[in-house]
Amino acid sequence: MYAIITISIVAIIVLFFGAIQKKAPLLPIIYIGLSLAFILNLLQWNKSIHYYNEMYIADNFSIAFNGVLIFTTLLVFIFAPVYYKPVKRPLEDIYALILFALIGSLTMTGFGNLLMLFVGIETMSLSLYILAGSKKFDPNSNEAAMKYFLTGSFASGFLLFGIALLYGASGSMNLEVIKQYVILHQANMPGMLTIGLLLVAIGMTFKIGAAPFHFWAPDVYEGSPTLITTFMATVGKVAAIAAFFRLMHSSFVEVESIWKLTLTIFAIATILIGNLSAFYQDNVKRMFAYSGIAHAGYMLIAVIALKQQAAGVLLLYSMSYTIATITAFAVLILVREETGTFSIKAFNGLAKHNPREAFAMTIAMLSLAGIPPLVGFAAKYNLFVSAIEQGNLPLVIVAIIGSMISVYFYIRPVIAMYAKQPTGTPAIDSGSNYKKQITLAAVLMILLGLIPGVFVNLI
Amino acid sequence: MIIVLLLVLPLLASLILFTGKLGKHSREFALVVSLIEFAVALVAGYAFTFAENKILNLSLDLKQLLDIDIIINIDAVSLIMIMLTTLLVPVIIASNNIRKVRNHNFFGLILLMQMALIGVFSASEMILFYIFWELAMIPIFLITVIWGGKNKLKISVKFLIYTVVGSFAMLIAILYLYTLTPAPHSFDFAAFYQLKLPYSVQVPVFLAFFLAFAIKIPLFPFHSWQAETYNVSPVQGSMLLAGIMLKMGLYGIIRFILPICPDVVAGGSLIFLPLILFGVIYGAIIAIRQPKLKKMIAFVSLSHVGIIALGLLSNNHYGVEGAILQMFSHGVNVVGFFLCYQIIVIRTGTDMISKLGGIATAAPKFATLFLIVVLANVALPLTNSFVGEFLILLGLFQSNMYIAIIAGLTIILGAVYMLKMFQQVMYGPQTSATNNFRDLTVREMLLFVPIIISIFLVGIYPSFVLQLLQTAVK
Repeated sequence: MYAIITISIVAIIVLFFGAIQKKAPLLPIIYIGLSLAFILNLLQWNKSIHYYNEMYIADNFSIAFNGVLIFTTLLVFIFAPVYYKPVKRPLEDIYALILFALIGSLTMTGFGNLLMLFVGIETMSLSLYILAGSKKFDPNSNEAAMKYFLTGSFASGFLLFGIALLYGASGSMNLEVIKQYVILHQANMPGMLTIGLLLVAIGMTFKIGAAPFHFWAPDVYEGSPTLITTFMATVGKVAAIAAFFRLMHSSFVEVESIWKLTLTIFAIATILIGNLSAFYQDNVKRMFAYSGIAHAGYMLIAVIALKQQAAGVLLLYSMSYTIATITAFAVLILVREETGTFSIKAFNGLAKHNPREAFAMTIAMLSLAGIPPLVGFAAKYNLFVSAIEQGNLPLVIVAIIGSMISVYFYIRPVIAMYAKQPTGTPAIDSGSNYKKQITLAAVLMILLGLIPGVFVNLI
Repeated sequence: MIIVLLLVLPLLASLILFTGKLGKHSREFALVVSLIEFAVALVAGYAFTFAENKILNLSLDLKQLLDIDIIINIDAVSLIMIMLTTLLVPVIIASNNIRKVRNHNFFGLILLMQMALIGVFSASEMILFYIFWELAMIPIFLITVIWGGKNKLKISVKFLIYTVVGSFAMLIAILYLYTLTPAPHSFDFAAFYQLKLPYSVQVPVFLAFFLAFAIKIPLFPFHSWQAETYNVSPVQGSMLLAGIMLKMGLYGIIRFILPICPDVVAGGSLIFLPLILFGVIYGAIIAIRQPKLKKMIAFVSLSHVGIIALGLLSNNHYGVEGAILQMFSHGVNVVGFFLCYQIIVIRTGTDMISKLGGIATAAPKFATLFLIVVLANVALPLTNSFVGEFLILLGLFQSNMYIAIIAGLTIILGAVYMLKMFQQVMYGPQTSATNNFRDLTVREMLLFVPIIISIFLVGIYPSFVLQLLQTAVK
């Protein structure tokens, strides 16, 4: 809770500094504020405090995911100066909106009441709608914002309607009360609750960008400013999947027969659609949009294979996905700045003059593809094992086939960087801060891959 | 302790090399490390012979930290493969006498690969095995992509796709077997060996494993990546691939298919043995017609590893023993062959067999060594291949006479392509390319020492290896 308060204050201070046109202190304030929030968040470990009539619950699950979300946002802000180098104005609005979106996502991981879930999702989504259109004079960005807003508000409608039906059936929005109701009536479920649950599931599926509600993702990801895409693809997705997991895990475990088959089909479709579509992309940014869809499918497996350990597995997977995605996007931002294109050809020969960036990108790609001994493999392996222990063999086989396909498109940038001739662009000077961060990210991916057990058994 | 050293030493050395701080001394450093590693392996072998139940064991309970149990068992088969790896890697590193760009990374990758290979050959836990298995693929892929020849992109991607498909098939099989182990589930090899699977379950498990290993070895319908990858990879890469990495697939057959699917191996010999046999003959016939030396080696290798696979799947203990011995011999011989190839290419600048000739008159020392390597490949008595191939054929004969008779043909075919090649390259009139062929320098001769020693040692006195194996095979 203190983390949310701290970040809110930081966001307001940022807006204030923007109002008096001071640029220099903005980023340092954000860095300090986020680090402080990260520490405050971890200080509540093992306390499991319930706030405001169980509206918000700071249990270990939410603290762990909030840690990931805050850290990811911090990384996004670290790469922000590289992206916004040509912009002279203070950018306080964009920074503040990112922080507000973060607050929304922090609320989503710890909700104890369906209203809080909705408030969190809307806080995050509304900020993201604006951020997607924050490149005001770029038609693509406008298009992205419009598409995202229309489809997103539609999905919110589904979600809200579902919540209303759940309330109508059980008489409460509190997760614990709903759980008691479900246990009591599990032999004879009222249709209202079943439909409500499915509508909520559809709304959440949209938010995580899983098939068959994924159509917004590629266009929005491609059109939005790259830094915002990074934020959406990492924080937005992880918060939504954590919320989804929490919802299913705390209230609907006993009636998994209702939703398990549906979600399994969704997950299979997501994995196949995401990976097969990414296969054909020449635009790297769009490829990452589809790769994000595919990873949403893998994370759905964790929701399907509910059991004690699955939360830790989901945590590890989120960490592996966010770190690798951010690293890849950071390199993409750099390459795009120099060559002006997102095409795969822009990566040609990058290893010759920017070996460090090329190395980090390689590690990120291999980790996303799930090649041992990187963290991506540890995450996928744990996921598959937990799913297979619940008897989901067909799902795991599809997931493995999906990973197999994904190796091809993840390896393409690697080959372009190492084996093709550079197109004549000079070495890209990225600044020492950027270099340090990207090395840190690469090292993290290797190190986390060596000690995955710590996180799997954490919550 | 010694096991940890075996694994950590090359890893640390490769990390040091990747920093690039060593500059021009990278090669010397890598060579020294690999020689130390060989010494460590010898010590491990010494410890092994005095170990109580003929097994070196290391198990660490790190489930909380690593999420996998570290279980490493070195038995006789593992030990032989580790010996092969540590023996060949110094030769491979020392054979590189062309300065390349980003030299330090090249040697770093070779040492990283050595670590992964030793891991594959010693891991006794499925996921650990799988991690090493995949890790071994990355360095060789990068070596091919970065230092390869013409068309390297297309070919290395093809190689990658093939191996990844195989690996994932294996992963599915591993996860499936995991669910069959009694609760609490375990990835330990021992738990897998205790499964008594019904025949209907063994078949899909066999197919998944067989796909993975058949691609890696490679066996007949899955071989098309092999010749191209050998051709495009730098010679050191080809040596690693043919000398050691192919043995991963054969080793996998020993570790998984034989103990887990015994009924399929016993009953299905008429289904897949002819397929492998076809590949053996096919490789040999293509090798006869190959105009390029390196591609010829690739097809010869295809033919030879096919015979080894026949021996392993012959369901007969002679066949299995011979195959394991032959795995060692083949690694040594093929690396020796590639050494000769490299010397010829560096001196003449071509590897078209038709453009070569008359080297023997110019370079008698080289001719002698090359002849020994060639005869070892033909499986002449007193060389290492003879013992292995003899045992394999003996085993095959006891299980299926017709297959053994046809497989015996390859020895004749082998003599045909090898001697034909040798005669064309070494004898006859000198050509413009071979006019100024220098004989071997002392340094180059030293490279051949381990090869020649192992050829004759195993050829003349194979029983010390076979005794080790007999307990393991049973």
